[in-house]
Amino acid sequence: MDKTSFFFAMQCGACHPGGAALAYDREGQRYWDGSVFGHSRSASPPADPQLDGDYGFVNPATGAKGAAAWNKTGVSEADCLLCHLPGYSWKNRTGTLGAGAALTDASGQPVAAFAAASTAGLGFAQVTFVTPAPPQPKAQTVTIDYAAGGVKPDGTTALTLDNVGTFLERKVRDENCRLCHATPDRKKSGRSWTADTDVHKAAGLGCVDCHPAGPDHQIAKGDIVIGSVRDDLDGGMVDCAGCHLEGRAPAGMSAPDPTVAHGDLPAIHLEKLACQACHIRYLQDAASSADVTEIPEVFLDMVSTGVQTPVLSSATFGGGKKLLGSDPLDPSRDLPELVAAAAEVDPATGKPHTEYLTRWYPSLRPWKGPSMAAQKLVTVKPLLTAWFGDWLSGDGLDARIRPIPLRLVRKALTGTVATPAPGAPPNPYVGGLALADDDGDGKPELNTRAEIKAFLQAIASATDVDGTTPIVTAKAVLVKAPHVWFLDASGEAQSFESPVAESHDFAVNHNVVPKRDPLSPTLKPGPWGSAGCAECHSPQSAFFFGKQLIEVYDETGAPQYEPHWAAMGYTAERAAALTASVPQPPAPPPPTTDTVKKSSGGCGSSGAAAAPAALLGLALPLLRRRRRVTG
Amino acid sequence: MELTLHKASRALGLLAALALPGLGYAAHPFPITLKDAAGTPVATSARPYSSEKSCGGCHDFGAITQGYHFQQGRTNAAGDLQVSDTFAGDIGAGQTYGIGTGAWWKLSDGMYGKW
Repeated sequence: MDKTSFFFAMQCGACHPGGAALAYDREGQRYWDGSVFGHSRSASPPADPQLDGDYGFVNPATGAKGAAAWNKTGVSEADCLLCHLPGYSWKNRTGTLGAGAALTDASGQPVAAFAAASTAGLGFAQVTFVTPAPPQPKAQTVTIDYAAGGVKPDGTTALTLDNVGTFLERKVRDENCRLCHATPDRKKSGRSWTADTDVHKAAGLGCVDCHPAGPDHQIAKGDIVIGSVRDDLDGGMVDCAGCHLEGRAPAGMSAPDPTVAHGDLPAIHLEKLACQACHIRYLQDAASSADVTEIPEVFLDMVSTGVQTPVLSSATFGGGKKLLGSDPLDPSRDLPELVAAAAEVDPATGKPHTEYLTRWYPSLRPWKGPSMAAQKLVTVKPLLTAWFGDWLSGDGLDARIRPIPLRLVRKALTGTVATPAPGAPPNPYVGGLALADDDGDGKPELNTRAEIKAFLQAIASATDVDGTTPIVTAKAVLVKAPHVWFLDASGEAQSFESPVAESHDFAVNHNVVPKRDPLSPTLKPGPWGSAGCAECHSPQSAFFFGKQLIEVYDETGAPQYEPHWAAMGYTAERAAALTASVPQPPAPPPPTTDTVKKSSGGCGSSGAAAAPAALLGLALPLLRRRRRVTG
Repeated sequence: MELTLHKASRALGLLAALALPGLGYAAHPFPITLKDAAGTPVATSARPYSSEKSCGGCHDFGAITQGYHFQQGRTNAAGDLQVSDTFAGDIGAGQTYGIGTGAWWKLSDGMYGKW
């Protein structure tokens, strides 16, 4: 967090539901109680506000440091109805918060934006917008008006002060969860939550069926790869085993016991693979939301212009080039079968199946456990980043690199801290800086050694808006996954790999794929292994040889990938051995009639389940750390 | 009298909630009054409504807002503030916060931190 809690309330409070840091300082004092500031206990802001995140504010247009105007905005209380009122207006809430200290009503009178945002969310306000569209609507005026009625929770009846209780619901609807989670989920993990992209949604499950909460409102968590908030609560949700093995399915619902269907699978698979590794084989947009893309961001470029610029995974819907196409072995292209299927018009909707053009495959990585041997492979969507930093000390695993705030990067590269208006071209460079488009996607990128050298020199010599304070205290570096670039003693660009530059792996735990359709195995291949052991254990199988993106553009502008087997921790030799043919366990004893089980197309014979892992060629010590340590 | 009726309606609501757990989408068990930050009904004041004053009269607003969806790392399991203005890895010998994670950019789990 480097933007102060005031900025956070204004820009991020749209989804963060208020209370805590949006209302109280670190001493537990309300920032503004209607008459005095919590810090000073006076009506005046601190004379010399310390930029400690509580009462400071940096003007995003000028870079000038000043006081946070909590006295003008009020505070953002925890908003119960954001979750418990169907039809809540996220747009009104977001726009009102985003207006900040400058908000007025229609007659020009000041309006406390943070305090009024919840009321606007109920629809009890006339709101005009400067920026009406997501992801960051911004209001121009907000005029509170309880008489005109609010949102329509049931789609027809307007909320009034007399019927609020009628519409409040204890069990939170998916639609309310998705008000806040839809956009970040899509950006981070590519998650969608529709009946045609997740079998559990199709079966009627809702968010709180797996993520319930008690009176303490600790909404049950999963256990994701990235996330540092209250890790002590991780794993509290109803997970796969909870419903499918432990009888914790919601009332009135049942979950099939997978024991029989997986009975033929050698035990090592369930020991080393999370359920998701096979059952979230791919992700794609929902057919029912063809005009809303759900493909994720794979790269955040914060160095080309000093403005955070996301790059999508596909060229089809706004991205510059295809980075995660539907051919798992060659992500720069799509599978011809899917391209053909995408062109067919669905007679029911009259629309082509463009969702097939958005299919991509999650990456794999080991996760959680006291040792590599105890970890399981989980599905993730890596996010690669590029940013400028201040290299304080160390290298490789121990490199201490602190990011340089983007406003200062903008000043160094373009001479101004302000961001261009939405839709406007980037601010022009200063100091003779220039970038070329080496990958032909229509956008220049910072990738060649000469470009990196020039940009690092510009960062190293830049000062804050006071004209004297250097923005780098030690050594300027470019962190561009998977490398850290620096200028050596002779002033030339060199690089090393470091965890600082690793991908941010967002968990992929939704979008469980439907069963395999034997008549249409490309469109609906089902979970891995549905077609038999050889689907994975064969030369060039996509399970082992599918490509994971590790660099968006190298020095030539080309993307770089690594095969799944490398991400899993195998050596090339081991991967070759596992895919030369289906590993054969020792011959099982002759089956008797009562041990013959229904086959699900799974691997091996029933005797294989007891086969030692070493005999299956999956000796645990072969797993290695994914991180490559170089100096 | 009003207080008595209020308690009675709350008791009925609680009974209804306990007796009808399957009615997850059931409405609030009794009518509610939206109030502003001063506790005055907004029908009178026409000011922004306050969740704390409107809902907190019956529900334990303080306990509810200790949920991590609200706190976002501001507090730990004990409910204690855990806010840092010091970057991970800079907090001294013997500390392990952030060590080996590569998260040298990290100030605090909570949504605080200097610019």
